[in-house]
Amino acid sequence: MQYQAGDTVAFDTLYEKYRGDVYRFLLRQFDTATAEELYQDVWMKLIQARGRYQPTARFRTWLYTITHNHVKDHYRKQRVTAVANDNDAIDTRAPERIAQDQQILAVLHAGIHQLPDVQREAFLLKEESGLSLDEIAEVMGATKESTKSRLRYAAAKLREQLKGLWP
Amino acid sequence: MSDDRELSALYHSADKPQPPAVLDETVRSAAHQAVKPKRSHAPQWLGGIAASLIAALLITQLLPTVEQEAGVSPELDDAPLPAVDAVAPGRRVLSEDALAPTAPRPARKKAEAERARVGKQVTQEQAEMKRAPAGDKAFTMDEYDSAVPAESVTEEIRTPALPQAAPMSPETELQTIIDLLDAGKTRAARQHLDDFRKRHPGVEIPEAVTRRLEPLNAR
Repeated sequence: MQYQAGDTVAFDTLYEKYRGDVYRFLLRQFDTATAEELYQDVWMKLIQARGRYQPTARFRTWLYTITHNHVKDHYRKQRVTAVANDNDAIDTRAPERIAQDQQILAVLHAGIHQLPDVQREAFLLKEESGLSLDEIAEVMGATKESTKSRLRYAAAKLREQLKGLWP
Repeated sequence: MSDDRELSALYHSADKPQPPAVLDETVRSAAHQAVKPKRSHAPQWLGGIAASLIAALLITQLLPTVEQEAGVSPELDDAPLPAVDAVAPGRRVLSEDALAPTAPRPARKKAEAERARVGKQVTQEQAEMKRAPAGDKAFTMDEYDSAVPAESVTEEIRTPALPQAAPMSPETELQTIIDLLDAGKTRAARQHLDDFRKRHPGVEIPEAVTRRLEPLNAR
């Protein structure tokens, strides 16, 4: 609201608070270049839509609604399948050189990429963005029950991926 | 649930990459730019007024120049009625001298020079008018106003009327006859001489010219 009134400091504060979460939310789904492109688009959309922001909604929910819609549009337009992040890809050429915990994380990230879109997004909204079940449901435009189901399936698949590496 | 918590802990144990600084800069500057107060329209508005004033100034400065070039003296429009020969108390007679501005402009000078060159007959008529009994033949302002529409007066003042074909002076006509003789055009010279005598019966032909015309008179 303060930013709507022209307070740029208010925007800077919000941006500082959410920049990392939004960036990683995208980075866990797309390659770095695509994630950065989408990241910029999301913030530009938010800036343009600042006049439509209603104080009744939590800023975080509003921000992730914009992000979710943009990701959905991106999938629709590009028919992009989530690919493994360049930075987090498993180095299969020399697995012995990779530390055990790093290997586990790499497998985890790879498993996230392999999740169906809605499960991946629900998982990332929960873990990366810290949204509650209700907020995730609101952002994704789904019911609370289906959101809970998506999260349960996502966790189960990731555990399956980590079997043998992680207790 | 405990599995979920462990999975969550594992996820958060990973590095937390941050967006590149260039992205941050792009987003922040866009956000600041978006709410930056737009320039007031006042300067444009003032610019329009300034342009109008300049245009008005140019028009007021250039118009007199154009009028002057066209032979119109703006001073004449504002000039008080001429000081003229007194005819009767409270009455005035139109006098050409009074129409002359105190500092004649080039156009008027030119017109006056032209008029002086041609205007012997006019001067005679003026002399006759001045000799006439006051109040009878001389035009008073009132009479002039009633007799001549104001528009035509103004027009006449604005564009001093020059004779379309000014009559030649007797001297010029005689010179023309001599020139024709020199050129061997005797028939034309004779014709001119006859016309000259008709037009100027009282004009005495100078002896020098008479001598030149002797061959012609002899025929």
